[in-house]
Amino acid sequence: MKVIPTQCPSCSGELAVTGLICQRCDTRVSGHYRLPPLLKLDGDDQAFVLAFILESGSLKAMAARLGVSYPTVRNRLDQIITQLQADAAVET
Amino acid sequence: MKAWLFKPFEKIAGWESLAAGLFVMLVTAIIAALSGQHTDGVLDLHLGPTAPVWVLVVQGLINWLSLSGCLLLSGLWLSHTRFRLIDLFGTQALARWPLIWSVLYLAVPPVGNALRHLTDKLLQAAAQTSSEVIADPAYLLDALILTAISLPMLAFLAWMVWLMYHGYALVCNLSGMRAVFSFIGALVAATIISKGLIWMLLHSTMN
Repeated sequence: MKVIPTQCPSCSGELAVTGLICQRCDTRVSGHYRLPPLLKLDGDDQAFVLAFILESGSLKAMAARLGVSYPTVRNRLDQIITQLQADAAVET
Repeated sequence: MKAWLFKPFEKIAGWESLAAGLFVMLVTAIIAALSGQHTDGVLDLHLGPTAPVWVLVVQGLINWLSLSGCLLLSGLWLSHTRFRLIDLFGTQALARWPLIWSVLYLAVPPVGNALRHLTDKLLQAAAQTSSEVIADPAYLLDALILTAISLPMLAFLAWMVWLMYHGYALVCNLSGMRAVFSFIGALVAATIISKGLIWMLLHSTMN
């Protein structure tokens, strides 16, 4: 599965979306759109967040699914929360 | 395999680690009771007078709960994450499992007898030359042999302390100097508490 790049390969700056295309009628929309915070996470973290939602937010279920302990899942979630909070702070 | 030996709490915590830890503590207490050993402190293991199994079980529980309690206070103070009590107490219970190897090692008659003999010899020598600062060279060899025999126990002790730290740091999501110094502080406090409680236990049961 392709993961959308979020960092510039030249200068590591933040990439933004400037064009969207309708897959049904080929309409193109151009503008300047910042990537939503969740899309700025790396592929593994995005997969983690998706799995977390599918497990109805249960850390216990996530631990069983990933085969790790509850504290390990808790710490991974804390890391993602910290990253999202840092991103939100940059935007404001 | 390496992860299971040195970072087991990434895989197991909570009720599972508590049950496994308590089981190992019980087995350790039984072996210690049968071989005249005492776990008379959070990190301590000594040869001593024979005691009933229940005394050794209580010693193990005091050691586990002392450190878990001190780490709980430290975690509540320093941690930014919501952690579960069962994870902290459970990982600390299972972290004590390397102690069973020390107890088994000391239970081997030649090892235990050699330690008792050398310790008695050195204590007697110290009593006779208490005014001297440097030990009589005649006893240095005995001291070196005693140290060499104790090395496996030191290795098991280091492993146990590492597991205690790993459990604490993982459960409370602490790292760096904050984790290290708070762990050391809790360990010192727990050692003092456990020593006091176990002294009272032995004083009331062995007299």
